[in-house]
Amino acid sequence: MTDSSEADRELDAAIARLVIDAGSDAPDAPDMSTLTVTELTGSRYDVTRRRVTVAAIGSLAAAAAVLAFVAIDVDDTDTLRPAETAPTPTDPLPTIVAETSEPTIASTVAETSEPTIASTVTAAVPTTSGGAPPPAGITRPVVAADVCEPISAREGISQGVPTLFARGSNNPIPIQIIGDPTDGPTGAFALVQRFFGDDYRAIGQEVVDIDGTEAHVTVYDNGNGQVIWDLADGSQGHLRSRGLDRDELVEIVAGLTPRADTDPIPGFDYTAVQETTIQLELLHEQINTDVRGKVAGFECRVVATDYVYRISALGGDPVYQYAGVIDRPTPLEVGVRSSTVIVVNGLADPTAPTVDDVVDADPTAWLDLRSRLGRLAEGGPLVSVISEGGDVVVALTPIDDTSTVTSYLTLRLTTEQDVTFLQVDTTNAVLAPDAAFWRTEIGGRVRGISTARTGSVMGFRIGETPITDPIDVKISIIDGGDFVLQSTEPIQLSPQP
Amino acid sequence: MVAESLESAYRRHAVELIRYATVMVGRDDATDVVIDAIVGVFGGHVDGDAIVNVRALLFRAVHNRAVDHHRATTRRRSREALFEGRRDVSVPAGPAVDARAALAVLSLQQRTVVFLAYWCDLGVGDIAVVLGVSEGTVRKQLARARARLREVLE
Repeated sequence: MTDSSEADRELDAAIARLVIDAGSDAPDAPDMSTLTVTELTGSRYDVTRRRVTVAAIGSLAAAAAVLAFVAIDVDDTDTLRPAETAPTPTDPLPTIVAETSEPTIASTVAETSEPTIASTVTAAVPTTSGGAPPPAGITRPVVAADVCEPISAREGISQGVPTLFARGSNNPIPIQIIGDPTDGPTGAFALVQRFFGDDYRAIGQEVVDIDGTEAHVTVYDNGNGQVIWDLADGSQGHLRSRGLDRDELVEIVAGLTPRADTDPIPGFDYTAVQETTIQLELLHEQINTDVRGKVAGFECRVVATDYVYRISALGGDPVYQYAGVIDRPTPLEVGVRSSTVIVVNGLADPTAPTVDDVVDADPTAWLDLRSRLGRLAEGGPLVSVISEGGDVVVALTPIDDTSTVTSYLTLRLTTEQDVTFLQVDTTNAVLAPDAAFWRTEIGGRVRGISTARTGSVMGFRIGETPITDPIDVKISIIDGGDFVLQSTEPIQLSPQP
Repeated sequence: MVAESLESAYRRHAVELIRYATVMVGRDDATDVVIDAIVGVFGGHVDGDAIVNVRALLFRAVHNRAVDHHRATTRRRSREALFEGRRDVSVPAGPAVDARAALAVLSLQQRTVVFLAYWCDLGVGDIAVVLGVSEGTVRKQLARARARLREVLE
């Protein structure tokens, strides 16, 4: 699709960002099983428009191609009111009542309650005149310098989510979000994946029998939770949660029924168990390869404490946003600004920036921030002499001030067929809990992004032997939001024969 | 059976369809366009067995509705401008308005091709199937769109 030149790649990236931004405030997709359509009438020169609202009807599958229609009047100024013909009692079965002017559309009227109509219309049709515009989303998150001094900014685009919680698969993965429709990603929720054809051993702190299934349940100190359970067909359920306790996790898993593997989204149906203490619903679902999103990240330092904070603005599909909230260290705060989810990470402190502090940077300031290196690169490089066959051990240091784990990488230069390679041995690395990817920069450019695992050796082609120029290297561990969790100092390897 | 198949397909592609419609016609009208398209597909008694690519069918339905909507809106705005003179018919403000304004320099078909290529990661052949046009047309539209966007972005 693209040419190989740098300019073309930049153009492609810019177009991809445009396309993502242009759809960033897309409304929620209407639910097919609860869909009704309105038909409007007016004089020949009136603006005749069609509006959609939602009403409960029976199963669409059972009703075949029958859709339900409710008449709603819309005037020229987009002010909505239920039509006089809109019925009010509730009836589980749609009744054919009215006609529309669209000959190809089956015309029925579903009976519904007015509150459903009103609330849905309000949500589905943002004000375009006579009211306040919808609040703007955030695509370039920053806070004022006197609150938190800017360090750098980053942007990333995801077209598909191959790995969550450092676990990927060769097969498509259905991802489902079970949460509170009101609180959204700011509240407690669970992200459920189902893996097919993987050999992944289910482990956990506790094995709980849930309706005859062994579920391996883990609740972490930071409020995250995990349940892994093997299904009869050989697939495996994998739930990660935030803000849910052990009993709530068990209740959720008890409410999950696996779908057929031929289902377009072969995850689970969810029915909350009767005695549940939580009121969560299946909110969103997608296949991982279909998930699209964009993250814009901002890193800053509070001068008074020297604490570093990272603020992410997540746009795109809801599944992407929920995943971005949970696939990272426990946030200090999560908020929603229009279609954007804002996440603040860092140490709890009265001086910490908050979601309310976040504003959109102007494009020039944002570009300047993006051009800056992360705070670990502010000093000069650590120079190490390295010889063919020899190695250099470098520290992989956590930059999260709450963590104390330090681990090590071993760097080697090897030669094969007159080509010199840099090997990065991760045997002695200990990864942060939310590690997602290794990011290797050589010569100031990102040369590799790979799944965060230990015990492997990564290889990078440096050039034809002999190499005489110094090699600048920096290796980092990043999370799903492209934020650095652990990093080496900038290293300059000086090859010696 | 047919309805189940189409419903499942809609459920799977709903998010990208509403997003596509938002890029094409804006947030305010995206839901209308998608619903009109889906209703048309269901109400048209489509023979599910004959549908080789349901995703393509749904995209094409939304595309066609977006084109209808665009034409109707253009006519309406012309009429309003003619008879009411002072009426503000500018695109309503929104978080993505800059990006949409940039994409608005493209024709609807170019916008569709760009969306399918850059959001859905479809190749030329797949885009041709979705739109029911030749691969040559897709290549031509994509090249023109990229050239136009290069001008805008510079």
